[in-house]
Amino acid sequence: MKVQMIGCSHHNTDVTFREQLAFQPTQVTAALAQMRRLFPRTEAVLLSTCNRMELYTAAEDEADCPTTEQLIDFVAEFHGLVPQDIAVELLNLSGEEAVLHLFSTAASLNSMVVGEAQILSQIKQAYDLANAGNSTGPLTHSTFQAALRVAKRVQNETSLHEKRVSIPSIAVADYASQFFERLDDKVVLIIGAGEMAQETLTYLVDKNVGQTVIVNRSRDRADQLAKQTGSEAADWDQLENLLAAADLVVSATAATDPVVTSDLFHQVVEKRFQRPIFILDLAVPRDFDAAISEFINVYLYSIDDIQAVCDANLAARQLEWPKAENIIAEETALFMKILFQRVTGPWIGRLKQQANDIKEAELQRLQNKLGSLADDPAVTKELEISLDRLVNKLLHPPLESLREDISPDTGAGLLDALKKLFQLKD
Amino acid sequence: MLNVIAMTDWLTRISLWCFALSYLIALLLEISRLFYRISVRSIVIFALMLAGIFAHTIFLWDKFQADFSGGTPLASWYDWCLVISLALAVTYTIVALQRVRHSVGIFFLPVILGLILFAVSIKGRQPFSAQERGNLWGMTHGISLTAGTIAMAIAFTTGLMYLVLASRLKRKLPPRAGFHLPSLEWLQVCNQRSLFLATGLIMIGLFSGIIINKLKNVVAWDDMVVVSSSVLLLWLIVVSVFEMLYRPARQGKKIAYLTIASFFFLIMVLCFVIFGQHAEAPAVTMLWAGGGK
Repeated sequence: MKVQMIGCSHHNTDVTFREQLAFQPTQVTAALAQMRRLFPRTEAVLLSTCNRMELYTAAEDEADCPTTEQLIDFVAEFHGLVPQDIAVELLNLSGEEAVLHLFSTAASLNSMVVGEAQILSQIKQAYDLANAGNSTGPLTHSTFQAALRVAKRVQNETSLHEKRVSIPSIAVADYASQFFERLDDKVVLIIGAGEMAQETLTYLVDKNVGQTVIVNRSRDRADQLAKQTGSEAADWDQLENLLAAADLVVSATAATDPVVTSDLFHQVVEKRFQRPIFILDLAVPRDFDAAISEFINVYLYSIDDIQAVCDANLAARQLEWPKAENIIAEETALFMKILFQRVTGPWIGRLKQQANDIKEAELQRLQNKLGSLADDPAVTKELEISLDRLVNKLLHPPLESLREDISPDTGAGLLDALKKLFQLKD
Repeated sequence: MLNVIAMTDWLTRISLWCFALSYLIALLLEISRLFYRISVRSIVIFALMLAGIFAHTIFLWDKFQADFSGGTPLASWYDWCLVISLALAVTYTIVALQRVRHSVGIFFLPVILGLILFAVSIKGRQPFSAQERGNLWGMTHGISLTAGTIAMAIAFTTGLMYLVLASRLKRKLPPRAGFHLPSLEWLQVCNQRSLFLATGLIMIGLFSGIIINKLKNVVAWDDMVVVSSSVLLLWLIVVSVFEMLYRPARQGKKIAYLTIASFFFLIMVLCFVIFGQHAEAPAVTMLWAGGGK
């Protein structure tokens, strides 16, 4: 039995390298089909996201599983690359290490933003895609189903996933949700069209926000971002009216002076009739005059206010990390034990059968030798019990050692030894 | 058969303290959210609330049946306080079920327990006069005032939550683990609707009271209860009209403050009503009115 993984992630490679090895969903299907043609008895699941590319392979018989070199050649050939160029960068894990890695990845311990939930759905998609392409089998089924279960356990038993650590995600998920029950009937104003504004907008779009208006000094950039995100763009001189109509404002311009002064906001407040407004000023230096937060029903948050939560969440996650690692280690050990018992089970059965055959043959021989004595059922019964006890006592220590030893390395070694010593055949 | 008898016997032994204790433990568990993370806490709270509501209902049902044989059931301030607390317990359980992560119990459960304690403190008081409790106007008066008090208690609780959350957000306090409240928007909507409902119900209650008095002249028109009730009604109408017509009042804290003030006003009026022996058995009322000679 073999489970292995080759791949790369944001931990050990840069984005340029990952881009070269990335598989689009259609390519994943094609690659798995190709894998099946090349290695028909190998199960495979291919996980490809913007932060990682991981190819998991498994086979009941180790000889059926491709070697690491074959897998590297396969990936390189699929992308038209030179195997030697990618080999050094790729991570190669097998057995318990590969399982531990998959469990940790599913639980989001290996993610760029630790604790983010997206990776779990990406792993599920990769597994579903492999299922649809008939690339999975008993080993990948149990491994990936266990990974999904472990991730859920980490989610339930730790608060790792509750603590967000990116400014836009905290702003939207932790703060906006305290103001608004729903976002689909709200008007969101985005001031600026930079990276931070764009990232926050992505979170808002995910939350199904109602109407989003982007306003930027350069109308072209506002139009461009509006097109990308399905929002509206507006002229800069509309700012005052847009502020009056907005429920949530996200501001992230590169301006060196406040874009919205207290005087300007005073006019806005008059038009709003004290309707609550949540302003996220994510710009440095700040876009909104700090005095604006004094207005009634105006909740103005700067990047520093949210950064404090960000830092606290990071610290809280670090506290949760050992708990999550313990769960994963415990689940990996249990999984490996179950997996190994599944492999050893048939061989143990075969050994017992072989021993039983020998016992039966010996019993028959003895009965023939004993002549009339063997006609006594009590004697036959006693002989049978004695031989059974002998067989059991002889087999008990090696089988117990095999059952107890869950380490795939030594365990597999013991199994091989058992096969050789007792000449067990497939 | 024996099992059914044993069960019935067991149910009749349910006391007020059974459900009060369930609610108290649920409150302690809600408070523990602020300090510890326990994965099954919400389920335990929910189970305690269901057990409490079950015991509360059985207790009131037993009382209802016992009272029914001797006249009109649930016709005392003690009973009504227990009915109001049961309605609030059911409301809280529904809200808690929909909002598992929110600490609404910290606000609802003290009100529920406070009402139960208040009921205990007035247990010995006389039931309503037999003359009023069977009368249509008397029943309308009582039921609408009870329902109005329930609505006002909900408005008070949501208003309080609104003010706490608004204050935390204004002071930019980071979200506290274990202390999550529903959004300002939801709290505001609940607060407004409960206030309007309470105003309507209390208005019906007071008008039916006026009709009763007109017909039977139970209390003097310048009686403290009549005066304070009229002022309360006037206050609630002003608050509701202010809320409907003055746009800034519809947003934010003003209405929450007004609701809390209204609730305390209502408590004050209820105290006048209860401790002034309003609607109690005639002998006692006459004594209070100086008519016992």
